[in-house]
Amino acid sequence: MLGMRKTPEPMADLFLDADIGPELATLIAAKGHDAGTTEQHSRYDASDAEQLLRATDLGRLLVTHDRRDYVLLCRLWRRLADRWSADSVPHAGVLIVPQRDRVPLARVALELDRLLVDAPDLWGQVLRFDSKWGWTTEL
Amino acid sequence: MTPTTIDAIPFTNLTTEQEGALIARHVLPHPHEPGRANAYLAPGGPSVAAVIRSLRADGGKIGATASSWQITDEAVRAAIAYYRRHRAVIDARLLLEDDAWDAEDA
Repeated sequence: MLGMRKTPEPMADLFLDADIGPELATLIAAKGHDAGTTEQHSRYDASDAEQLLRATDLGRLLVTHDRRDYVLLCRLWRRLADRWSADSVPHAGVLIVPQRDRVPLARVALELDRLLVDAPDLWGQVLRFDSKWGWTTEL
Repeated sequence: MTPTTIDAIPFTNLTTEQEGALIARHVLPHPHEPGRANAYLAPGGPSVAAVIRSLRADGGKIGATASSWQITDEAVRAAIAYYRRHRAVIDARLLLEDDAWDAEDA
């Protein structure tokens, strides 16, 4: 199971983008997931591309608020993979979540937890949570 | 999005020089994303824009925003001071973020 630990309680290994604040990180960790931050696994000033590469190297799902930049980045990843190598590695998965002025962070953490329990293998996928539509596939 | 007006952002009662010093202590240009809209709080802190967004959600309460980001009240005040100087571009960034979020296709 990629990006997941085989434990009785499903726990995902996550890589929190630099734009994810410590409050959400704490809520996610309280659900039993390993919520690693950019600062723990990379440099705090790493670019979006560096963070996605690092998350993939570590087999961690990347969680971000930044829909625009990560959708562009993942589109580029896919285009480059299609062009240069049929055997290229997909990224480890990107989960785009709303900021707290749209959805309370406790709800975001709850929905993340539900997704991670129900859909363990998210490599190469980009999903977004919206309070109206729930989780939808971006790419 | 929480409908909080720009005027809910509290102002600092500092001189221009004091504001400049406050900004210099806390605000840095982003190493990969040029532009004042992308400035962030050092070291390893959130972007100024993210702090302003949080302040709006918190009804302008500096302590609440500082707590949620685990930064000092002074760092939040530095973000406010920076915002006061570069309000148009930071508001533009926030609008673009909202627009990207609301778009049918990113």
